[in-house]
Amino acid sequence: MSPRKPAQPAQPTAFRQPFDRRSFLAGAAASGAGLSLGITPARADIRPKTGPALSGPAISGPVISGPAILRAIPGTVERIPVIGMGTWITFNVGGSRRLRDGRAEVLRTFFDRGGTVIDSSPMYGSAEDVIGYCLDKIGKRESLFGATKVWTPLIADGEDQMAESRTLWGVKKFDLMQVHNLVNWEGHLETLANDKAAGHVRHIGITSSHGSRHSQMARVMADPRVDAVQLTYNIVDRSAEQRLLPLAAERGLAVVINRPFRRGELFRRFAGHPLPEWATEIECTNWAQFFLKFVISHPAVTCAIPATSEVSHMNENMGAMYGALPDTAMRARMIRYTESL
Amino acid sequence: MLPYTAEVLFALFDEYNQAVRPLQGVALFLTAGVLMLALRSRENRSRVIVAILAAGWVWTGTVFHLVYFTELNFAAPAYGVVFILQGFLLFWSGVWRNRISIRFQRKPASYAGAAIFILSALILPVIDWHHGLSWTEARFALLAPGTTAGLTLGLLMMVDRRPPLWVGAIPVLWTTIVGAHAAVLGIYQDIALTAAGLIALFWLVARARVLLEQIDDMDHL
Repeated sequence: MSPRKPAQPAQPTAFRQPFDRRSFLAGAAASGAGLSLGITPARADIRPKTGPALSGPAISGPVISGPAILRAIPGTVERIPVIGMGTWITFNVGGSRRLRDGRAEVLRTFFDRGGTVIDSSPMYGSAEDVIGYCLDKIGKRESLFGATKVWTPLIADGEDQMAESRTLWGVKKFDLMQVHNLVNWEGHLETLANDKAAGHVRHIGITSSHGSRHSQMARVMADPRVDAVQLTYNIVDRSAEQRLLPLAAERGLAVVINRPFRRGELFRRFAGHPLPEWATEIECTNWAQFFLKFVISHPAVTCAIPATSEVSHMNENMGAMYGALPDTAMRARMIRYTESL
Repeated sequence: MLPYTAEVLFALFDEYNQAVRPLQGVALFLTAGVLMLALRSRENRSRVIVAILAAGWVWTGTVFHLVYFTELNFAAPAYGVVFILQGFLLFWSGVWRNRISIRFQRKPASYAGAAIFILSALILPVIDWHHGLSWTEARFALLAPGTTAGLTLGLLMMVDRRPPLWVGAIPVLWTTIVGAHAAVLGIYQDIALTAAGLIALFWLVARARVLLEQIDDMDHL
């Protein structure tokens, strides 16, 4: 892994506390120390909707204590929780107050369980507006690690789009700004580099959710302006292990993983089967944690961003941020088990 | 993959219908009126029918797509433009040039058209209600895109002269889009609109070919 220059301290804003190494380490310690999590019992069935997000079931089952798993952004002293939250579809709820308030409870659960990384995009309809509404409602901008994207083929529109995103989220800057699906990445990387120099963005990334673009991703990852990559990886879609994940580790890039559940398909395929008994060795009590721990146990992965609209599912997801992670042998065992089903 | 769920879509209709209340009453009155005019069509009543349809397309494109749906779907602005275009096409062809003559006849095409009309105006909203949706979440014809397209196709099948193929193109295309969305969102009753669109397309093309052959035969006499 080639060393990268340390990130510059973030400029203080009206919405965030000043960044420095002490506050980040203190924040990481506070989020981990004393956090115990009641885990929902293992579900052998598909993750059904449990009704309105406000009415998630009470947490019960084995308690997992210990610190939350944090990962360093390569080349920096910054550590972020290994489970974040995506917002594709789940937070695109338009103007409905009822649905927005439901998402606010999902977000509250996310922060209460130690989460900080939220990923969105202008492509996700009203999701950014809803995020801003929810952050206003629950008042959690201080711990937020905001990641969004620029998604326009026109360079001239990129600045306006990013400015609108800041307004919608209610933040002065983003922690991570990514070029969505590599749309005009050459032009946008230049804009983002200027924004980073000006202090409007802390890290620059690129994203892809299409397996067929791995070659293009690999080429763009060689650009020294790129700090992070977002790509698809899960227990079924493992092609990123061949090239992109090793390349990210070699280049010292942070890796954000989308589609850890393959847009819910993994639950449809596997949740009707029982978890293996040895899942307790990695403190998994439900399939969500099984899938997520597989993803985050890859050494190159910095953070996974599962999306959900349910409080109960958020509790399950955040449970993957605690306890033991599978080693290489266990990961192979997990793959063999799912392939046998 | 769509960027929203069925729950969110119907919540949007709820927000939209509450905002435009009491236009639903106007839309229902005009829908019933259009059917009555088609059943008893006389000279110039087709112009009134098409003018109402055109207004429905322009309204749906401007208000529903460009103001409301654009919040959920980045393709909504394009949909809005297409709907407004369809409104102007109908107006130009059926009102300005008086080229669309809608008159119910005791023929299979008219009966099929009437069935498609009733499907769009009445049956689909009833099915939605049966699934637990409230009236504010209903998709009223002339105010909502799918039912407006269905209504239009039903009336075009009652045309007694050469059917204007190109004023049916966008409604057929939209019912196809509705079907694709229905499959993704699980709103399976909407697939009936897609079936209606295919029936209308088949009839429009077949009738145009018959008329062209007749014209061809006359040329050879």
